[in-house]
Amino acid sequence: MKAIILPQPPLILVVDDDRMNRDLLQVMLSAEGFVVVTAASGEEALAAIAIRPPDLILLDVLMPGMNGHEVTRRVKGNLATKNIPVIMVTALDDRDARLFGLGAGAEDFLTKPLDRVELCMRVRNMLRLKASSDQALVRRDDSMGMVSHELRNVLSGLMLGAVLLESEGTDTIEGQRIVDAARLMQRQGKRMGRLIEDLVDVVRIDAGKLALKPSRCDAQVLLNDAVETCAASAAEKGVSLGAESVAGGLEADFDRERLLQVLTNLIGNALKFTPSGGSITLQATATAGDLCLAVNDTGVGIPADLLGAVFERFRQVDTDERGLGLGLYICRCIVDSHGGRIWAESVQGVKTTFHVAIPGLGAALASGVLVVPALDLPGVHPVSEAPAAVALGAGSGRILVVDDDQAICETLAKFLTRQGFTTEWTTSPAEAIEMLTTST
Amino acid sequence: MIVTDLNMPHIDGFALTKHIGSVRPGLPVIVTSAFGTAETRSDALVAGAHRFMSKPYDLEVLFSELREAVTTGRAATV
Repeated sequence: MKAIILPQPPLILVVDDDRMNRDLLQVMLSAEGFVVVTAASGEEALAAIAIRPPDLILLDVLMPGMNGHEVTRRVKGNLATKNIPVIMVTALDDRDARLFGLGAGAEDFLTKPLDRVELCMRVRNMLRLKASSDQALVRRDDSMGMVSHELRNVLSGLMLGAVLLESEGTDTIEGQRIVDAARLMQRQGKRMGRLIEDLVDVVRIDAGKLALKPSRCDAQVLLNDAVETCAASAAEKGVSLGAESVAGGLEADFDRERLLQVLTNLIGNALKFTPSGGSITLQATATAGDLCLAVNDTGVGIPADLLGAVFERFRQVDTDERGLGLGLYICRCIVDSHGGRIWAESVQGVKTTFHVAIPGLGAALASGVLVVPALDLPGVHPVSEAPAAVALGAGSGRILVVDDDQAICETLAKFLTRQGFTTEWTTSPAEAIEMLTTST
Repeated sequence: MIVTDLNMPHIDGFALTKHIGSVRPGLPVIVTSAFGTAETRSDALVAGAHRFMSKPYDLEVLFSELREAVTTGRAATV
């Protein structure tokens, strides 16, 4: 078997309410070269994991307060920690505790009294499995990133080509056919773009890299933005789409872009299942300290037995509709990251409502959520700093396009020239700098 | 105005944007990338980009951004 080299001594968290047991495990594991930290309760263990996620957790089952099963359930239920292996430590004759622990998601168990050799072997085996799965995840993320990058680039070229083709259309029947085909290509291209975004999001979610940037936002603005984003699709389908006005203004801390993504996904989903002539209505209310958002539609409804399952990945209620079945799964992950809840209610053939509850109206997001602080972005250079500000008419001005993909350069330059801009392009950034230095 | 890709050999879009900011302050730069994540967007804006756009482009948005850059007088001649 090929050895996998661990980059630094693995960190093992030992959780036991009995000090003797903790000390014993610490001595045994330290002697094998592991770095050991200990926790005396389930609560202490969760705090230690939040501060510095260990490579493996050795967990006593019977503890006062939060027991080992609950700790396991929480570790496995959190996107950021679910990949940390858990070895339960149980009494030899306690079969029920072992089965319960394995059911809660623990990878393995050891029985007391502990055998030093067996302990070290099991720990090493588990760490080797984890290192191997971590490497596989990194490789998958890398290739996913590269593939999506290439796909988006190729799609850019195709979309630009379709726009150019559309502008070639004439009033003749043949010309109109070209225009229709070019528009179809653009619609399909946009859909493909959305599918790529969904796949990229899922990879980020699985890697525990879904970062939130919460800030104080107005719920009414959020609803209005969602309606505006989806207005064209709704009109195309003949479905009326609107937001009810929020009484008295409602502000909360959330990641505006991500919740907008949730709402537009939910509206997109509602549009699929609402026939022409139907309606979709958005609401925002404050309920028990939560910001509650609702997307109501007059669509075909969801069978009762599928109401919970719709949020599973790759799940599609209606296989006739195209897509990957990732939209609602992504919604759930975004809402989960906010510490909130998402659920659906439906009367078949009459209506469906998707509810989203985000906690902490007026309070910061709960701890344990993956939060990165929003960057302080510098503004655009003020006009006074511009050395030669000029006022030009719409669609005029000089533009330099820089892209190492020549097809994109050419097509974009052609498009911009048609729009009235004077356009130059180069595939070399060095040449771009040269052009900037020499031109006046 | 400059419309530049992000991932390019030798000099990437971040470096190009920073360079433009130092030699031609006020010249609007729109950075585009097929690696359109929240992080790359922030990084591009921090580097001094006027706007960041994910690929595939939404041409209507790109066009209105370019027109806005011109009509609001933020543009400097290249």
